[in-house]
Amino acid sequence: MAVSETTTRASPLSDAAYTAFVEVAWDRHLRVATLLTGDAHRAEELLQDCLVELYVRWPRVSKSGDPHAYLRRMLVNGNVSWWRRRRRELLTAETPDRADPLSAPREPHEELRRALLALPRQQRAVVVLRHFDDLTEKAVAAALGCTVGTVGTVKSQHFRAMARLRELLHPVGLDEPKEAAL
Amino acid sequence: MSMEQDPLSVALRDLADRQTVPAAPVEQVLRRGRRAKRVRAAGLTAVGAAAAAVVAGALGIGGAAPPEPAPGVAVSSEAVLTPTMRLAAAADRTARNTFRLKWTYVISQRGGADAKEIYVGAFDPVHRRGYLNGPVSGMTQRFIGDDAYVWRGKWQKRPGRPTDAAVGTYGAPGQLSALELSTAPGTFLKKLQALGKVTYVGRSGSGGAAVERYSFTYANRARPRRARSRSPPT
Repeated sequence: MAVSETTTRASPLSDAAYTAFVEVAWDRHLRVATLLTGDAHRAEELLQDCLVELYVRWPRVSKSGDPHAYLRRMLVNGNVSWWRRRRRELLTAETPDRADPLSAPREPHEELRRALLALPRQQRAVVVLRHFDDLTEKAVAAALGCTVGTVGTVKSQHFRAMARLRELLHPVGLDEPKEAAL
Repeated sequence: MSMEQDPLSVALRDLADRQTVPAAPVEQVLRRGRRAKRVRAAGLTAVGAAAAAVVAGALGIGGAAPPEPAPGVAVSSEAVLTPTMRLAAAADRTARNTFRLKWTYVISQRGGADAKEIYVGAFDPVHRRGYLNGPVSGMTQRFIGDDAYVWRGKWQKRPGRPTDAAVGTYGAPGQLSALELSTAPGTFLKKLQALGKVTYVGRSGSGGAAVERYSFTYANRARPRRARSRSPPT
C-alpha cells in the first residue's frame, strides 16, 4: 500500500515574489481595511489573515491575474465573516459597529468615520472601494463577489449609501459629493 | 468630477492618511502562511519519516447472534471469551453484516505536537459498498466493488492499486486497506488483531439492531527514510 507524499517546501522564487507583493499590498490595502473595519487593530488583523490565506493560494493566484483584486475581495468578504464570528462571542468591552449620530463629535474626520461605520458593511465597502480605492463599478462588483457582484447592485448600493451619508453628515462640504461619477 | 476630486474621496483619503501604517509584518505572514500550507497538505497526504502513528479504532458490528468462538478455537466451559476471540468470530460474521467505523489516528512526531486524524465510515460487505469521511470536513472516499474514489471537487478514481486506498494518510504500507472494509472485512479485522490490542467494549441495542463494539490500538511505525532537505522550521 503506497503512502503518497507531497513536498511542502517553499519555492524561493515564489516566496520572493510573494514577499514583494506583501510589502506593496500592506501599505496599499491597510488603509482600505481600516476604512472597512473602522478600527486600525482589526484592520491589521484582517489584512494579515487574508495575506496568510493568500500565501496558501499564491501559486494559483499569482498566475491567474491580479493578486491585488483577489486580496481586495478577501478583505471585503473577510470583514463580513469576521463580524459574524465575533458576534457569537460575548464582548462586553467591544465598541458597537454602529455610530450614534446624536452623540457624534463634531470633528469632521471622526464624524466621517462614524458615518461610515453606520452604513451596512456592503454599502460601506462600495463607498470605500469607489471613493477611496477609485475602482470602477465593475471592479467593485468583482470585489463584492459573485452573489451580489452585478454592476446594477453596485449602483443601487452606492445610491443608498450616499443618501445615508448625506443624512448623517453635517454640511461641511462632505454631504454633497458633487457630480460624483457613478 | 472624477473620484479623485470628489469631496468624499478627498475626505476619505484625509481620514485614511491620519493612520500610521506600521511596517509590513512580512516574516510573520510568511511563517503563518507556511504553517497554514503544511496543515492543509497534511490533511490531504502523508508526510514525513520518523512518525509513529497510534491508531485507535472503534468498530460497531451489527448482528443479533451472540459472538461465537471461531472454528477450531477451543473454549473451556470456564474460559471467558477474549476480545481477540470475539473479534475473530465477529470477523466471520462481518462479511454478512453492515458495520460502522470510527478511526482515530494519533500521530506523534519527534519534536512536534501530536496530530489527530478522525475518519468515520460505514460499510456493506454484502453489496461491496462503503464510504469513509475525514480527516477534514468535505474529504470523503467511496468504495464500490473493487474500486475506490476520492472527492476532490469532483469524484476521481483513486490511482494505483485499489488496495492502496489506505485508512488514514498514515496507514502503514501493506498493512491496512480501506477498500478491504467493504470487499474483505474479515481480512481487515484479522489484520487488526495481528497488529495490536483489541478490546471488546460491549454490546448495545437489542434484537436485529444489536451492535457489538470493539476498540483496537496499534503503533504504526513508518519505515525510516533518507533525510532530505527541508525548509527551516518556523
